Amino acid sequence: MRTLRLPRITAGWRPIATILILAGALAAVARFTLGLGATTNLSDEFPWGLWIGFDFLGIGLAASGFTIVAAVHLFHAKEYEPIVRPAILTAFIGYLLVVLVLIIDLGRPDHFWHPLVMWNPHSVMCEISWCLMLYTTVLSLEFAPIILEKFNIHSPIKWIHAISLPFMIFGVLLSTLHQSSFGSLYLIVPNRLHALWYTPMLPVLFFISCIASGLSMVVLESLIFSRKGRPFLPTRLRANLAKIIALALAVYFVVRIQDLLSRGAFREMTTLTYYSVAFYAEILIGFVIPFSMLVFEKVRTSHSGLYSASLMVVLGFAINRMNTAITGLERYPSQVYFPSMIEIFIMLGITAIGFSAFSFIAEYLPVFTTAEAGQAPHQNEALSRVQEPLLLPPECENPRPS
Amino acid sequence: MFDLANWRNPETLMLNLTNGILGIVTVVLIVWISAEAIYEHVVIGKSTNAKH
Repeated sequence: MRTLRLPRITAGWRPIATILILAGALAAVARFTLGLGATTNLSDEFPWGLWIGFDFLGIGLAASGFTIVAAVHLFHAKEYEPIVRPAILTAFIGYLLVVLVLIIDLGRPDHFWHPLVMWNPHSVMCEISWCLMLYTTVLSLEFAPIILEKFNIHSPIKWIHAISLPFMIFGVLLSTLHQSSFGSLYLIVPNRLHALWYTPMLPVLFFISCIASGLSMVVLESLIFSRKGRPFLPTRLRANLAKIIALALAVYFVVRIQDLLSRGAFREMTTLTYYSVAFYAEILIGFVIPFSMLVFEKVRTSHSGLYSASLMVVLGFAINRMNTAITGLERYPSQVYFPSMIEIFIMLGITAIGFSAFSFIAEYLPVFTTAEAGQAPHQNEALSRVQEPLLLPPECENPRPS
Repeated sequence: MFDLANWRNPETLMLNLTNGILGIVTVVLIVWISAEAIYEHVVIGKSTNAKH
């Protein structure tokens, strides 16, 4: 069978990322000097656009942080220990970027600290702001040992480990709360959001889909990053993660379709419109096709099959969040929104910062070394049980992302 | 995207310049990535044929 090659650019992705970061910085200067009204296509009729969609996407993809931490440290699935640090790194970078986008998106960025002292407990925004701030703090504590280890500062690590369990439980709780709260944000627009996306079940759907997308990100990372000719995460464990992804996709699909039918949205599904095409794009790309692939053991254990399925889940998830944030809101007051060049480049620049930061940290900090060095005897034991012979496609031999 | 009528206005000028630069960056990136993709495809195609 012909193996799938990971995307590769001859001159490397770094020059392109540098250009995007510089262009994004220029766009950000224009946004802060000229204001939102002049630089974006947002208006009073359409106040939330591309950046809010990007926030949903970033938070959802960062869900790997709490799912893997919960699996390893709360449910003692120690065999997944090698993927904990990459998952925490993904989550940490994701959350920092979302915070950055939120500050850029605020009409008064200098007032970003107001939720800290001016509480409005009746607003979902209040809960989201607090969860974001607290969970980013928890993630920074979970991430701190990686930096401290690099510089051989061990005494704070012991201190952090001593208090880590309550923090991890707190982090999982906060994540569960605000992943669903992002869906709750749209409960205030029942007459505006299109029937294909509006549902009182939005918080539940947001939560279920973030589990699938977060785990897909972990699978993608484990496929892209591998060392010394050995996959970063053994095939059996990757296949187990794929099973959980398939389960989450199935639950999501059943809940979504059942909800649509119970609310009488069947007509919207069967009428060919701009909205129904967008709906079917997300359902087919993100849920139906990857689920159909992942039910087969052959796909779950195949490098190329799992790579394609995980990529589709992430892509479908992105379409779903953009549909909820943009497409679904275009129905009323029949206003078409297309982001301005400045909006697009700020988003691309921030994405490039995320990729560059991940690559830099993965290269210089001990993020992908846990499996080799071994942190504790029980981890080594767990790892040795799941080691496998060095049977790998050639594309796994490069330890760095292509 | 461009406001040429009031181009003397400093804010409009800055917005036009920013959009102009971002437009050029867009074109450069599209050409670059497309050229890379075509080049890669041609090189891989040649090397596969050479192996056979």
